[in-house]
Amino acid sequence: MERKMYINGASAISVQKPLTDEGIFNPIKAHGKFIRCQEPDYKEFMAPLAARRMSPIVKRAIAASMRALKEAKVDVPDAIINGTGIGCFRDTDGFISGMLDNHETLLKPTMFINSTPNTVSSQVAIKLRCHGYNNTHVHNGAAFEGALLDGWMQLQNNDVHTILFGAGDETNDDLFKILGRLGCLHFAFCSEGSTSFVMSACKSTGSYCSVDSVESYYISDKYSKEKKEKIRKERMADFLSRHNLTFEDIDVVFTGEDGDPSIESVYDFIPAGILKGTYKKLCGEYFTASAYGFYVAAEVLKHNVLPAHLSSDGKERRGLKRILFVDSWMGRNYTFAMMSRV
Amino acid sequence: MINQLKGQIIESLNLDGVKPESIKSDAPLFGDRGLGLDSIDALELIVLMEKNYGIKLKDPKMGKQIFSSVQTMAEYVEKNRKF
Amino acid sequence: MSPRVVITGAGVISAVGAGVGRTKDSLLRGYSNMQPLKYLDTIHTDIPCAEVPYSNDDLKGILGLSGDVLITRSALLGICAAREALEMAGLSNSAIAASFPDRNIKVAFLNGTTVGGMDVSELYYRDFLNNDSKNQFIHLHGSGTTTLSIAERTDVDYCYVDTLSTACSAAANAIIMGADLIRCGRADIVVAGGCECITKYHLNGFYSLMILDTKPCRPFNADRSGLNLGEGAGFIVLESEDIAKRRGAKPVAELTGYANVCDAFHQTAISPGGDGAVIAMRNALKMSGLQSGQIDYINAHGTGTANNDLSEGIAIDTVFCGHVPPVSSTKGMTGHPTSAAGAVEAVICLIAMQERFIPANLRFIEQIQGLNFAPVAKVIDNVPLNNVLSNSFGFGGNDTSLIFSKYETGHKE
Repeated sequence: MERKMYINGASAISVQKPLTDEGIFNPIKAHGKFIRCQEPDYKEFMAPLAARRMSPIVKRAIAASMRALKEAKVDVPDAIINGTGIGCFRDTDGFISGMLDNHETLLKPTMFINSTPNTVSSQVAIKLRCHGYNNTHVHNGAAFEGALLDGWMQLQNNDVHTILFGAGDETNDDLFKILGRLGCLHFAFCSEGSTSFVMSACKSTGSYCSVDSVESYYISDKYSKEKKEKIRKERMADFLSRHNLTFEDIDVVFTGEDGDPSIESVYDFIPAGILKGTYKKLCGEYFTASAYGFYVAAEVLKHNVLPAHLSSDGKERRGLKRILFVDSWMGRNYTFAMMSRV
Repeated sequence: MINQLKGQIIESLNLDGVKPESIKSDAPLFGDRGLGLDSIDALELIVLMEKNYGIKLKDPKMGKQIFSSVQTMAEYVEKNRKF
Repeated sequence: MSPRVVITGAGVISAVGAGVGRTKDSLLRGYSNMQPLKYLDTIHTDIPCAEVPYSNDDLKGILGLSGDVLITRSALLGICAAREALEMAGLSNSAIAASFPDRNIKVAFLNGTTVGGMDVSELYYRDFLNNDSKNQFIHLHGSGTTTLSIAERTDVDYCYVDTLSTACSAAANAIIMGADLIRCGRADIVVAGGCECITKYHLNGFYSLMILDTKPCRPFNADRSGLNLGEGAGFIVLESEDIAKRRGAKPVAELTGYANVCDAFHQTAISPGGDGAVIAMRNALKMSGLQSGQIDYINAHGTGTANNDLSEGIAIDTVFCGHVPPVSSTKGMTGHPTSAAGAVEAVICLIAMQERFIPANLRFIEQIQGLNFAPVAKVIDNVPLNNVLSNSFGFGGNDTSLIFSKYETGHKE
């Protein structure tokens, strides 16, 4: 019998007002195609001397983590697991550009050390003095989901009760330039962000919701279109039947399709007419945007309301019991999470 | 020259909000009693010396002495600068 | 009760050779070939590195890939190792279907890498930023893409594919996650390991940190002065004991203990007492149910840097307190293949166990002051290795220890 996880703390930094759920229920409308995060005042979370080297992705992870931990009333988690699609882009870009411009001389050691993807989870661990399990997933658009599955397993297998999850990506003008040229303009908008969760095997009075199960699977690109469709349908049916559920028992499905209309076909196994939750209009598109979606789903269950502006039919809903969270990276990696009101 | 060096140190190590006047020339740069710099900062100071003064330091262990304070760093730079 | 996790296949490629056989020969000979870089275009021609002795075109030829395939060097190395591991394990889609005609066997693929497609990106970086002439290469940048490039070129259909990145412990952590997938029933079989090619990016990165030796490295020597950058790939096939039995696969060893912990001290420096390393080794031992005295050999992380070897040495002294088993770092031969190290060295441990020898720690002359042991300077032949510990410690304090044990049938106590 698999143990459930309870989301006891959550926080995000995004295009919306940082470190508050205001942006979910009263969002600012994003204008433009390439939009950066709103940043909080980081002085609350770190001394200037410590922060001076940190790129935005690290500062955001620390701030969001500390908020989530405070909310969950946890000082030090048992594990820290992070996901990032493109890693510490600002420092990678800075180091490589400098390396090329100066022909491999006058290299910047700080930028190099800050450029490896695991620097985020390690700097959070240093801040918290956490010696526990520490991992970083970088499977492009499935990076958050990899972290989620990893944490899920830690909770089942080992002596781990509380996990700090994080997922984020950062961008800069160079990356926006490239995305623009590659034709990413059909996205809602291109952006960046960091989201943190504290999940535990134990429910608390402040729990947002339970995560009853996490499953992930992979579909090879070698398969025919028909075989892929068949597998998608089968996997969905299997997942629901393992929970003794049908789609009628699901109140809302979150997929993130609204971020990229060209990818609707990869969610063809979800029956037409099912109520969907939309979130990409709040946070934009980036590799780990689904973590923000997960946060939105948790908030919806916590407050027991799907606001009209996040509902696929434009109507508000209350009395929600169950959300099915689905995310896919390019129709290859798929993840399901069943989230329930507590 | 010492003030110029202080400015370069602040810029190179991203010491936002630290003014050159507030760094005492003979105060320790490293460790808790000093400016609180660490081993990564020491590497950046080595790059600073090469970029601004043409000094190539091959042995990072020498850094401990050279970067003991702004004063000792300035003395080393004066003695070994190429430009 | 969680299933026992056995290992039924292994594949490896590094500077000391392509394949388990060549690697074994090199280990027995104490072969090393630290040379200036031949295939990477860099100004650092005076830095000895442990490059895999094949160009990308050579590797494509070996793998039967056409010359114009768009693929990263890390992926090419990964395919070499992954295919070898699967072949040794006797695994393919048809073999699985034949052994289990009525059952859907779940096989996962996990890869540890940090540079991903950086070898390609750094060549075309300026074009990526400024024009569309090299757009066809942009998708190769992401680490996940390197993983898929490997997984999709083996003869197995995977139920799950993922990429991990914890610097020099990435492949070891992929192995841990693979074992976890099996133990909680999410996979029956997992191909887990890592790959990393040398890139200008991290060659210059390590150069800027002033931790590269200008001579062949000397791990655990008093007079050591840094590491030699290496490259390579290693994959092992993990499976539940039950599945291995049912398909008649003979385990080469069992993964009996492991631990992933964080030193949580500093981004590059290790805590003076090697706290993360101590916890990693102790937790791996606890999981295996073994006493420290039952470890027959430690394959150390032993990069040859001032910081690592002293801290790791202190940690080993702390955990093994007075009875340190034979210790060697094999990076004197393979160089430091960074993200792939944990898997390359896992395969080295399996070779050592199978062939009953302890690999040498090359170029050892003088013991580090403050440590209570010296590494094994020459190959020790004819020695039963029942339990072997492998350490991989990454920047950021990502410390991982794995314990491989001789596979014995019957219930584990």
